[in-house]
Amino acid sequence: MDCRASDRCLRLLAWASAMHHLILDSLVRDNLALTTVTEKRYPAIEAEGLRKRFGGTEAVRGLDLTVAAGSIYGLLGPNGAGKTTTVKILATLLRPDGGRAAVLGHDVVRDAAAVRRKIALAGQAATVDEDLTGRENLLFLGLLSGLSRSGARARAADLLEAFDLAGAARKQVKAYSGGMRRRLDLAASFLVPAELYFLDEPTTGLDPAARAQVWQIVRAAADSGSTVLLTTQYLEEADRLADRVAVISHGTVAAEGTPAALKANTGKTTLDEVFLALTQATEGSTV
Amino acid sequence: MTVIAVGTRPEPPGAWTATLAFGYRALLKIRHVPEQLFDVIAIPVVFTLMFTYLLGGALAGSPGRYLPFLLPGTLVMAVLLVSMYAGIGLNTDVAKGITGRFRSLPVWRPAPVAGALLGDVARYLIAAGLVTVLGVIMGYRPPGGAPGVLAGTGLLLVFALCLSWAWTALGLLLRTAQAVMSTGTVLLFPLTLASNVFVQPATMPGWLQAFVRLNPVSHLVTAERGLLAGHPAAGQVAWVLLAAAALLAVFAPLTGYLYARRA
Repeated sequence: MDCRASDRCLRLLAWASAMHHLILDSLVRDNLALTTVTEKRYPAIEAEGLRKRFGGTEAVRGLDLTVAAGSIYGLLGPNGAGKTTTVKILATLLRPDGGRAAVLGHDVVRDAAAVRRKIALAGQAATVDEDLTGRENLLFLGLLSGLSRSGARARAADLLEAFDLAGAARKQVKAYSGGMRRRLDLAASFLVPAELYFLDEPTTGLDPAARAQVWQIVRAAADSGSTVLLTTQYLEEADRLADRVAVISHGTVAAEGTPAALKANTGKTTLDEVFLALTQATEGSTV
Repeated sequence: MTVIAVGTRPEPPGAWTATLAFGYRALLKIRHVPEQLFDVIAIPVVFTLMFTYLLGGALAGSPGRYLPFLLPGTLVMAVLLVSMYAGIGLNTDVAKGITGRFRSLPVWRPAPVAGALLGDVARYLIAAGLVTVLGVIMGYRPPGGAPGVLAGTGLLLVFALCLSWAWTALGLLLRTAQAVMSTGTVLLFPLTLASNVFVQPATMPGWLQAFVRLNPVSHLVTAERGLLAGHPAAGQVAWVLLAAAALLAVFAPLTGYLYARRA
């Protein structure tokens, strides 16, 4: 009797453990499937036929853009090409007049609040308060990003240190140089983690050392799994940093690809030459 | 690298937390840029001194007899002039582009404007406090005592907060902060001067009397005189609250509409 009972117990135990494994296995598999699905389901940015008009001028006219999640993507273009307007539309600051765009799977018009919970923005389209000190700016923006008082204080101290602003932390931004302002503005966009960083001309006005430092930070952001969309006028920057670039001219994408492919396709040796050839060609064709 | 924040992003702040954060910013701005207060407050201070000592004897027999009549008026003038800064601040935010950053954050949409109002309250209290203290130094003893002063300041605060929505709308309509400042001054000076702040309207020509009687500033000044003197006129207070409600009803939605379009 005893033996039979214990036999039964054993069999029951074996069965239970098998079921247990099965359930665990399927859970793990589901989880894996889930993570791969969420990672692959949508690109970080998907824009189709974006249009935006200001009075008589059409700043963006039929712009298409696809940015893979986890990549560094460069938007290149001369002043007035529509780079900042495009960033503003994607960061939910402006409503497009036509076309549609999804950021991290959320429509930028219908689901703007969901987009804002996942992005960070720095540069021309967003700035800091000149009357406040650098530290106060970060504290204030930290509170607005959902950090606690102590969390904001700690984060502000870290970022001021990392962006070489610790010495000027208690000075009003009014007294900052252009480069210092730019660094504070960048620091503010790194207060909380974001899935997508929009950096609008992050290195304009920075000296070479500060620029190299920003490049390092951009790479670190991408290494952490986030996506970075940066606009720049420095082609060397795009060449060194970006996985892919789009050359914007007159509100549309004139060329798109990896920096290497762009150079190969146009038969040029530097991105500078590609840029000049493309922007001048489109200018010629529209005149 | 410690620059890139890792882990999960904190939950966005609630409406009240976000409003408080913007209020904190407004207070910091008062601390760092006190000029924004003293530029305009100099005018009522000078008027109080000048009218009392220069004209008080001629207008009321003696400076001491004129001051109780004048002070509630210059108190109103001080707070209304300071209220202009609500529009100037918002205009500067839009022009400088900082509203871009606010809009990219997951915060309650009206929080920037609501938080700025908290800063406005501080500004109005400082302005009212300065003029009241000046009056006391000059020998004014409000018969209504502390309750009268508190009630008077409260009513003035309510009116100024509702009026500040007119300035925020103007701040969003006009292109530069200077334009907001000059348009505000052009609107406020006739309203505060062509009123009963300095003299009783009985001595004025008929057409001006008609304007002074319609002028909401006159009603506000009469209500303040009553409260500070300790015999409040319920009708005047009601009139002021109604005017304030009307300002709020028109300009708060207009500000919201313009803010969504421009900022």
